[in-house]
Amino acid sequence: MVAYKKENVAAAATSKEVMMKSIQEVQFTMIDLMLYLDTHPCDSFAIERYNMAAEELHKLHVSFSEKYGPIMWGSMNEGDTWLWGEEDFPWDY
Amino acid sequence: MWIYEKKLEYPVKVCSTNPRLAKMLLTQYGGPDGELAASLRYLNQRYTMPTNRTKGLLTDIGTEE
Repeated sequence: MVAYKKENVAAAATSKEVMMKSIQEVQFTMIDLMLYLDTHPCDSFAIERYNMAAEELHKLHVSFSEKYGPIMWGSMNEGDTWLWGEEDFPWDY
Repeated sequence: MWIYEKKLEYPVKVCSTNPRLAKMLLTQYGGPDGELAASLRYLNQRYTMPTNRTKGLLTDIGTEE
């Protein structure tokens, strides 16, 4: 029973990490595209890629926050307690 | 002007103590030619840039640094 629980905790931590990693990947892509577009503002292919990533990031943000609490300042606080300080900071998990 | 997120741009995991590496990183980060000084130079020089596009460029680079 204990082992089962431990496994569950490990699995949960992994999926949180995996989800955060995909957010980081998409946002890293967007930052690179942003810097590229600053000097190449007429590249419609890059703009298309940027918009695709932005849509993806929005979806990932929503599903991550629903499961693990807020990561973006400015989103709604669900419930009666302030959640911003509840979850670990990203270098701690 | 800035909004921060509870996430890192790139995953960082510190799993051991390494004073030599820490010393090198400290110089890269806060030294005379480090990221901190560079980012502040970008963000201050943007005010004298002649066009909106270049103001935006220096803001984005300085923020990313």
